[in-house]
Amino acid sequence: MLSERIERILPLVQKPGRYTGGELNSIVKDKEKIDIRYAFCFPDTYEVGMSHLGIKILYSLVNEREDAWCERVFAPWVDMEEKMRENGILLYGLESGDPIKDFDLIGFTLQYEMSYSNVLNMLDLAGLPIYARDRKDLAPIVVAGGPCVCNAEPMADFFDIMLPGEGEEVTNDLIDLLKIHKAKGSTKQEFLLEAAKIKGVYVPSLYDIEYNEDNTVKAIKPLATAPERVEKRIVSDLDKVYFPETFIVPSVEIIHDRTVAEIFRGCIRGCRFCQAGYIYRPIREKTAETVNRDCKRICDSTGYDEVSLCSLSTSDYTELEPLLNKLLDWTVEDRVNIALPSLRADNFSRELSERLASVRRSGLTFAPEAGSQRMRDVINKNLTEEEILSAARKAFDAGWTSVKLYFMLGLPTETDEDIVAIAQLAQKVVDEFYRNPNKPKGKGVNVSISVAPFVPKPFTPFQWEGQNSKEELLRKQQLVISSLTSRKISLTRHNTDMSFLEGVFARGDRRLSAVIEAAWKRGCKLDGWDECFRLDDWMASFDDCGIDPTFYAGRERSLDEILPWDHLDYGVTKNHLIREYSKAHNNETTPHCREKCSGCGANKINGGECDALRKSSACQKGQG
Amino acid sequence: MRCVRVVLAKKGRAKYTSHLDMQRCMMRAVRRAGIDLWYTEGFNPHPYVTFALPLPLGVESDGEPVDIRLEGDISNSEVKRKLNPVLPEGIEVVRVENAVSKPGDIAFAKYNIVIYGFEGAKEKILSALASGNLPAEKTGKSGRHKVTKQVNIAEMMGDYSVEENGEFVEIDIVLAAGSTKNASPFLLLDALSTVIGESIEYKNITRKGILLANLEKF
Repeated sequence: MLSERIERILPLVQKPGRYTGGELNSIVKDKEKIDIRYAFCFPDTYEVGMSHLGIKILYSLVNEREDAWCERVFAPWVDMEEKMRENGILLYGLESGDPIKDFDLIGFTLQYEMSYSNVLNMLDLAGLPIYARDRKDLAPIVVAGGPCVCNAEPMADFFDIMLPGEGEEVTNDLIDLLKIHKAKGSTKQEFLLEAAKIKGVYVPSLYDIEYNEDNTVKAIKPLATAPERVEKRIVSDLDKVYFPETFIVPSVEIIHDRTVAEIFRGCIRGCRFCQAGYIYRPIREKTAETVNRDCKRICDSTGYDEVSLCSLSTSDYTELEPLLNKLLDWTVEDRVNIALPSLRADNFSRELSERLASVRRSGLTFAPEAGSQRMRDVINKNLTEEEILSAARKAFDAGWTSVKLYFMLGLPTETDEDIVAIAQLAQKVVDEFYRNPNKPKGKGVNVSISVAPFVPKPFTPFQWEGQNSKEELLRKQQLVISSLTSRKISLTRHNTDMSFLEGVFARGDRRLSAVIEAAWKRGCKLDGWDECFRLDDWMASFDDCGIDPTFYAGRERSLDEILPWDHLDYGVTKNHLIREYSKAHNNETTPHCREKCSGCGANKINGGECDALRKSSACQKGQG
Repeated sequence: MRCVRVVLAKKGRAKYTSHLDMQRCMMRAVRRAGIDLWYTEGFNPHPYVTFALPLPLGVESDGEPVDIRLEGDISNSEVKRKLNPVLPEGIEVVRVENAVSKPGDIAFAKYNIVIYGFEGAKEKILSALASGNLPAEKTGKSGRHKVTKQVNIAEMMGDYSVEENGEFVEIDIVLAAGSTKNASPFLLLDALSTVIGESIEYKNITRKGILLANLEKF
């Protein structure tokens, strides 16, 4: 329930429904009967955070426990923050309206680097010191999870614990341990020393980092109970992993307001720029039966009329066909639309597209990522031009009149020729439309291309590469524009300043904590929002701290440099990444995991199991 | 296909659900209830869920009529029985009736406005309401452009009463409503603030009912 003080400021802010709680299926418990109160914080606005699948899973998972209560917390928009500060209202959990500083656990999910300043702002709004070392008590323990944790060293000083890998099991382990230590009256340090022994728990304060004179890392030394390398935690049997039976139905519109079901984790493709493709390995699939059951259950209990299947590459799901059959059995009658994001151009079929359009037709997006074949080989996209054009042909034939194509700029070894090829490929797609004898009369085609700056990320074969400077990227963007040959092609560009900062933090080290603090003190927050992002203040903060950001973004690393994330183990071995790096520089491709296992090493985390291996050998047996 | 008029009470936190979000909310509720929605037959089929008179964000209501087109011949009482258990906190079906009068016939709405009291509040408000002059600035659209126009709320109101209630003051008032002439309670509060020279803060506003031109219930 909301206090009168909160109620009084709600009429004064935009979209107050974001701050009230009380949505359908949200969970309210009797706090007197709870041992551990958990604030799940998404460091961005309600509309963004509520669209995220991870928060839905962990929220329900924790609330399954009788001894714990998980509440949701989001970053307030600028107007709400101002009113909260004016009226001395501390950041509160949406379910209870209670200040989260009195909770036992505060968990942030770090989905993208541009949300880092929001974490500091939210801790401060909660009335807590931003630095972990200044929070002396056992509660609250501030934890981070999410993909950025694979190198959240720039945020390491703000968190007590980080959780590399998947959260479903380790969250419960952590709650169990905290419950014991809370009952015992342990100190925070006693708890952290024990927590560091749990697999998949990383306690940043238990590592000592030494630097060389050239500012590179000299050594990463574990202290006390901390392991030399923290191995990420995964769920072994994805088919049996906890999945919510229902979702909270927001009262205000959010970005992805629909049923989402995960079909598999990991990716067989090995695109060399893609962090997700490496850090979520090994491949683990859910069965079609489980996914179908989850979708039906959630649609029935929420009233959602759209289902989205979630994975890194939907068409690589081995049970896609049976799953669609099962889904279409009820979705057509219930008027539920099926969205398949992340389809690959090389296995897009007309039949698939038509079946999906049986309720409502949604947009169609392909990601060639690069314009020339050479460039696509470097990034190991394993997609030929003919495959892209054939997908476009099939789509136009099935009645689509617009397609989206995603590209990247600033990839390693990129030349101007590769960039001009982006415009050429878009033109060829336009030509396919006019070549189609069945094209709808009186309708033109719209090919919308999006070019995003490439940002090198940890745990990818490109983790050693230099990132293009802003000037270089702007020049390349202009080159794409001047190469466009048709008004049927529309272009979306990305903010190069944001990509630059993203690049700095993606491969940054702990010395950047001071910069993030300085920028936040200058008022930086909601940096992922164009209307709030202020590069000048960030650059001034680097200056204040005497740190050169290009050291982190633009610099090419040598293969033997100690990287700030070398003490984290995401399964894929450094040797594999080096092999892929060398192949990239020789324009060589690596076949996908079902064609041939490339020995990335990720299966060792899963006791040697990988569904890519299992399913491919099963296929071969079937053929034999 | 048949059209039912569902009359909803909207209380507490639910008052922060906007008009558009309420439409989405009702569509989902009907689906959860397992009631068959009727869909338009065009290229992009959509259900028909229409609120008779948008309720301003932040205002509670004792009865908001929403017209919903359904398949089959489900009874009004069945609709109420099935909907109530699946509605979010604060939203409740008061009754379900046949849609007789048209939303275009709406002329007035009755509000209860609770404000924080101030020195001589009751008398000042009563005399302002009786003055016949309550100027307010109304923002609207003319084509694509935003325009503001001056209106006199005194010409857009009916019966009223003002009562002191502890630290609060309660205003019960009938205001013009509908697509041609509409005065929101917030506009009235703005006008009162200007005329009295006091910044008026409200605690709660409730729409008590929607009326036809002859002041009969919609």
